[in-house]
Amino acid sequence: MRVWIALGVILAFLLLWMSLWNSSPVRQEAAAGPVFDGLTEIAQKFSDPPGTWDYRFPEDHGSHPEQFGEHWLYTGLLDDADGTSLGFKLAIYRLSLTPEPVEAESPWSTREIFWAQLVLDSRQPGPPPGEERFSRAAAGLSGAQDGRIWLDDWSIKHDPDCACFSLNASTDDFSLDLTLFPQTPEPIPFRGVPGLETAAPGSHGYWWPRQRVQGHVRDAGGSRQVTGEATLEHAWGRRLPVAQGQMTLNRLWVTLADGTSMRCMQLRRRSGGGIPLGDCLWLSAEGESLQASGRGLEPSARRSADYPLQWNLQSSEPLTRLSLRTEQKRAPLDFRLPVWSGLVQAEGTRDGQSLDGWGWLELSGY
Amino acid sequence: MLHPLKKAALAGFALIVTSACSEAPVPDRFAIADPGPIPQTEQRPGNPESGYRTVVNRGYVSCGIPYAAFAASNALGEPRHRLPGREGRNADLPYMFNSTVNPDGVELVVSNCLTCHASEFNGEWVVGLGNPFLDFTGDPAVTAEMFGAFVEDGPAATAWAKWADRIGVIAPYMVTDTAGPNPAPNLTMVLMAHRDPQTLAWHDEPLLEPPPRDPLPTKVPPWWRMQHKAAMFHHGGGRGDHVRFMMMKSLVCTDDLTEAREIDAWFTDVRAYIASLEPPEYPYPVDQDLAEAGERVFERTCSACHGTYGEDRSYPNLVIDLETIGTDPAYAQQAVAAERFVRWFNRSFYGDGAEAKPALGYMAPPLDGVWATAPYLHNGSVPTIAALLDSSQRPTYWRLRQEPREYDQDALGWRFDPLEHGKDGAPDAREAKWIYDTTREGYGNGGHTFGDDLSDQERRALLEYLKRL
Repeated sequence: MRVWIALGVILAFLLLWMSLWNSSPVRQEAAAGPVFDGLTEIAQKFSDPPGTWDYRFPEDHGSHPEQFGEHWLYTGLLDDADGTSLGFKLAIYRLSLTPEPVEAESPWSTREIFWAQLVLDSRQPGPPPGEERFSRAAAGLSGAQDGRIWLDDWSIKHDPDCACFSLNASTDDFSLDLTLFPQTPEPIPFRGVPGLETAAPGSHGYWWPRQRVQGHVRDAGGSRQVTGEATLEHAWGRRLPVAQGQMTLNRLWVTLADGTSMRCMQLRRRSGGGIPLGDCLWLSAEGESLQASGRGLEPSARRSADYPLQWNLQSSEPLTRLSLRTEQKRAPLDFRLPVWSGLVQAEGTRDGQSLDGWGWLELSGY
Repeated sequence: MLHPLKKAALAGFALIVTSACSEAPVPDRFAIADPGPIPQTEQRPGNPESGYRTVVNRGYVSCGIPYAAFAASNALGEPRHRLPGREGRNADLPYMFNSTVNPDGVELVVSNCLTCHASEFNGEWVVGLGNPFLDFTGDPAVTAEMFGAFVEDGPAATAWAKWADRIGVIAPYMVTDTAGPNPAPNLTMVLMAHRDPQTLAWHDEPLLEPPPRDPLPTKVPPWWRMQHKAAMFHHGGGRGDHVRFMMMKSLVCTDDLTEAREIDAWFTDVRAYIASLEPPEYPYPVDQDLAEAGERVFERTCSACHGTYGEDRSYPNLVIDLETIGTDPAYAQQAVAAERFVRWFNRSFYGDGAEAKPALGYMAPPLDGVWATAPYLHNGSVPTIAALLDSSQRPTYWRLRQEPREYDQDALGWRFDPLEHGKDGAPDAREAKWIYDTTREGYGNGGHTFGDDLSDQERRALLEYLKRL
């Protein structure tokens, strides 16, 4: 119930927000011109982030309220004792409404709103269970404090004592209670939403793949212990990674059995044609990171207006070819911005040796 | 009726072409010009004031970025270098963009001539001065595609896609590996490859073999020379009606003859404007006595090719053959070898009254305002006039100094740093792209050694004299 109260209170702000990230007149009927103008003014109150970011941990695991937008996004693959696997995504987005702190005139006063998505993928037919929530950072409904980011009872928290994270999220039908242990000393920094760094203000962030996971899952099958691996992405700046205008946003995180990991962000024309914008980051098993052109990532087949659920990825040095596909052809999630989000199977070769792993694919703007 | 210039140009072919020229057989003309004097051709009269208004206001490039997307992307920024005569929306745009509205009613931000043909000197923004600080090393297709994130559905999306697709086609042929040089000739050739010369219809697949991907470096010459030059381009291959060459800026977007004829009418005035321009005055002190001595050196050493200035003005319009001039031959050789593009031009709407006829050589340009036009030679390979007049002083590897750029009043050119290494010795790609490496093909800094035999005193005097031009 709290969610629905919060949703009503912040509806106007959300419409403003959506209209910024999605300027299609078809999809922003509820957010007409003056609303758009209002949010543009809000965004323009914020300074560009500096060209380089002096990363400090654990501080940078927390919130950057002086930045307009920010997101924390975990994807992972879990296995229970019976060998049943389950994929998940928890993303929490934060948007500042003003660069200055707000005097708390009432418990509802706020400078921030939060938006979160939880998706579980058990590789079954039909859309995976998913839920989306919105809240303002007031009266404890959502917020970011002391390394903990939360919206209702969904949270991501960094614990410096164990140098680990905890992730908790539940709905009426399922819950996740996980502890996540990074296996590398530092995350991999990145800059900008790909292709938009030049004309649009940039962002900074990091990617931290290969985190070992242990915890509990509760769903229709009951409560059970799980282990697995997960990837964290956290970024902040004047842009969020949301599809805009004529461009779709395609995101992919892959973890391969040989210890390498990959993160791709790519913008492509919704109508087809043009050149893809974006890049991929690779992390080798030895911990070396490498930036590769996003032009190596292509849908293997796509009919116009369909979500492309099969992709090919090629990169050189070492020559790597991967095929990424879903086991189930499923509909997108009916979130405020429709999104296809779910597990993909990765298979291919590197320097002639066969290779496999898992990934999480997220497609929006179609 | 045929244009009189076309009649003149076709006389030698004893062919009669009717006014329905787009339907009729068109002569397939290809000829290489001999080095030597280029005959003057009478130019169509126009209104210079109207021409300037066109340059800074009109959509002669008819495709571009929907204004709403341009503004939403933060590309607008604060208007820099406000130019006089900018009307309506143009007054709010960066100087290198004009505003236009396409037939679907979409307001577009389009490129104008000043992207390349305007530059800053001593705090003044000089229209007509080629900009030697432009950086064409980035991929313009990425920028064009990026704007799509800010484009709404409907006619704006159609307009953006047309422009972005065009940029996508030409981008691989216009990315230089060195910042500063200009890729315009290569860009023009690839646009020709994708168009029917007679209808100007665009074809996504090239009709002619495109030019090589790596553009040869060229320097943007100052507009004010055009009142003296009988032909355009460093090789003098742009002969006849200059309007038809100048309006080729529109080649990226103009897909039919109706639009081309409208732009031709505008550019009759633009040509008149360009031909009316005078160089700026040298803004620093000049030692007049030394300059007097320099004039005598100039008349003895330089005038035969570059003409005389002052009251007894003369300009011979000479193309100097490659062997005599000795400067990097690649650009002239490519122009002559690009027979398919010469034929394309001469068969096209643009060749109606004009003729592409390159020579194996380079024009000795008029030297009005030459002190402002560094770096020197057709490929911009020599950073200063002092180095041009003493080939032993020409750096093999060099980099323009920027932020702040600073004018060297002794050497006459932008201050630069000579380097011991080429691009391979640079710490990163950002540094490497600004290194001019004269050992690369087309980037050579040899030739034009006519100043080598001058004494230091004569060279100093000559430099002083050139400040007065």
